[in-house]
Amino acid sequence: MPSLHIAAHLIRRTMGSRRGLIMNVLLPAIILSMMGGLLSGLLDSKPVIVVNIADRGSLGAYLASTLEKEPLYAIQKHSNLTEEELKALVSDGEADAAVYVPADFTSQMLSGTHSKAIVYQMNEQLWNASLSAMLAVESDRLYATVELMRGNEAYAAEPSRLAALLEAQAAPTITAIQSEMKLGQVVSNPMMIGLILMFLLLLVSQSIGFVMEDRDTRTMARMYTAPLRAFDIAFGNFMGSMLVGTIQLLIVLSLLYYAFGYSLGIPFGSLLLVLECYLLAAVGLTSAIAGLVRSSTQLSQINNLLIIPSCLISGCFFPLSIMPDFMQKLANFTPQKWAIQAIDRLGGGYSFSDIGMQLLILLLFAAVLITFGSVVLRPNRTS
Amino acid sequence: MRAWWTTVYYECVKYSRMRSLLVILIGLPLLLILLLGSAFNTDIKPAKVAVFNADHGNMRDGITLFWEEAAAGPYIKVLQAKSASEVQDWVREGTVDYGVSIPSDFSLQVETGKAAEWLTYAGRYEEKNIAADAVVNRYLSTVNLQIAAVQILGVMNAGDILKEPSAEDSIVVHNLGMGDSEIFGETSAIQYYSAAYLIMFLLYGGMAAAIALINQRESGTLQRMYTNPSSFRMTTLGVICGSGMLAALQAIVIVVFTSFVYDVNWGGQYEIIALICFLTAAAGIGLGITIASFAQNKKTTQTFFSIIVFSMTFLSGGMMTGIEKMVGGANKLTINHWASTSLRAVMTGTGQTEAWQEIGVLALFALCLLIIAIIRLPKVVKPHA
Repeated sequence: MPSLHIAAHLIRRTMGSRRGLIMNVLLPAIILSMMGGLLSGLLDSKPVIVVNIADRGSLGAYLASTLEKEPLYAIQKHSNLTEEELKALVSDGEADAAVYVPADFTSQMLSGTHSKAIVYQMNEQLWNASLSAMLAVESDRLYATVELMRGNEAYAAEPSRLAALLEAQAAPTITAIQSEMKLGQVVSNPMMIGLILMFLLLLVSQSIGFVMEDRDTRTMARMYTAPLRAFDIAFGNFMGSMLVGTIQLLIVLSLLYYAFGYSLGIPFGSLLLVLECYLLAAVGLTSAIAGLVRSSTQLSQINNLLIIPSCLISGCFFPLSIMPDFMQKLANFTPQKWAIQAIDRLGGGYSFSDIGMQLLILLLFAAVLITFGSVVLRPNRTS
Repeated sequence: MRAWWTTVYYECVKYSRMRSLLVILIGLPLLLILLLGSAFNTDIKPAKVAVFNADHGNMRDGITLFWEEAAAGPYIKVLQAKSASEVQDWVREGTVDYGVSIPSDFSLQVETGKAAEWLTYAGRYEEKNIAADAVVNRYLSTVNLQIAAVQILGVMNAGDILKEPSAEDSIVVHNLGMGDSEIFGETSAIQYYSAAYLIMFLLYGGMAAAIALINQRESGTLQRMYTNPSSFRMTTLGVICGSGMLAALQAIVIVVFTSFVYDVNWGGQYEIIALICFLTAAAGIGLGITIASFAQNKKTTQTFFSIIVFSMTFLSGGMMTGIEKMVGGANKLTINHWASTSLRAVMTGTGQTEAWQEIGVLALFALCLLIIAIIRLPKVVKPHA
């Protein structure tokens, strides 16, 4: 099997030397494990909200209970702090936001003014805008309830009616039912998978670079004099690039799964399969790029220009949804996006039949680009 | 002096012909600044909510109107879905951040006094879910209040009382911070990344000096310089200054291009920016020569230099913001930290004294690295050292 020899040589050239072993195998593994550690530290930071319900009446407590229902916030109640002290906590960075309900909150409401809770925050972001919106809804509801009572002269004097009205709303007739969506965490938190995808692309581009080198030094021209079919040579080279990627994948994934216990809830085999499809697309992509340039040095420079930016726009490092629309559309043209989507679905508990489309797109990428990229193997095209 | 001039001139000619090097040192930072700057622009991204309203009863128009009003605010963007399963698909794909599906018998159930519900699908981002939840709750609590009023008070027209006040009216929000964003401080995202990548690629440019010296030694041209009847030091200095010229070109192109094309506000104090760039480039050159003196060959120098510059950029928050708070002060050991914070201070025009202190630390870094480089320089240029 002559293709196997070609493939084996390609592997030896990529990771056979000490430098190759460090740069292509050890370094990615170290960086990825470091990232894993850093990212797990990032995840458990909840915004801290200090709350003081100074309200002497009963309505303020409703605001507090709304806040406590929300698991995103870490609520700390401080009933002895003044408004100024709460404000100081926020400006010193000890709390992310402060909520102060003034002492006359209920009495103001009862006398017909819409009294207001006060929120202190450093600057407006979506999480604290959501906090304000949540408080506003609750405070509007209270105001409307009280107004309803006040507008109804027959009942205005009876405080027990107000309590009954609030009580009736506590067990609402109309509710929102939250459905479980089975969402993965990779699309919203792609750093780890994104780095693996980037390293694979870099590695594959390097091994395609070796094929280019063969062409530059006319080794390839000599290979064609051997009693081999052109197909054997092409197959050997592409298989070599695939194997290089597979070896690195196996090492990195085994380290992640068995040494660091980072698994995303996806079985080892399924993740490997998706990444193999991606690898095929990556081989296609780099060989297509290689087909466009003249020499292997040019290839490595062009790769620098293409790999990092394409990883950025495909959502490898931060979620796609924060980017402008045109960049999200551009991302459809990168294989990384589809790989991330497939892995995300697997992480959410979907089966292979649900990611068929994503895998098909990856294989389509591979088919089109490899055909396009087989031009690298034409020995007569040199600079 | 003539030897110096001649070397500088030929170094410049050499760099001007290395087109791909120029593309990487100048084109790549510009591309990265554009991508990261526009991805992280600090406008609050509204939560996209997919709504499917199957209800055909009396409340349908009210619900439609309600969502139209909700979409007018800054935090919610409403997309109309065609079926309940489309809502789910969109949430799963990440096309929308939240989904609401209103069953066809909703009005009927409410009118007959039975329990009724909206189906909601929460997406991947907690804060967007809360924003959308708040909107859903506003509608539901309105209707619930009406129902409760009917039950307890026997009034029918409770709906007139509850208006649609906006968030600003119902609670008071005070912003204590100066800038628009927590993560980028007082600069905008594109200013932040312009500073970070200008610094990173200036440091990379510093590697050019070390590479040029090693190349000349390996190809044997440096040895021939010794035979010249002119100062060898001047020739070496010329090679180093040549890469300084490259750094100057980088700085000028990046600053001019970003300020005219990307509208980045550099703050106008160009002499201070030039000083920071000069010190950064000097530190980069010093670092490059120091590494080259230990590494001895071109490939190892390139690898180690790239790893060091890459890690320094990462630690100082140039790739992921906020990382500097998690590395326990390691960011303060990087050149990038001092250079980019002082650049950002110049951009915003605040804290002049602090900016000068940071520039002082940067100068100290540059000085130390240059001294080490001068001591170690013979290891790089002497053919048999």
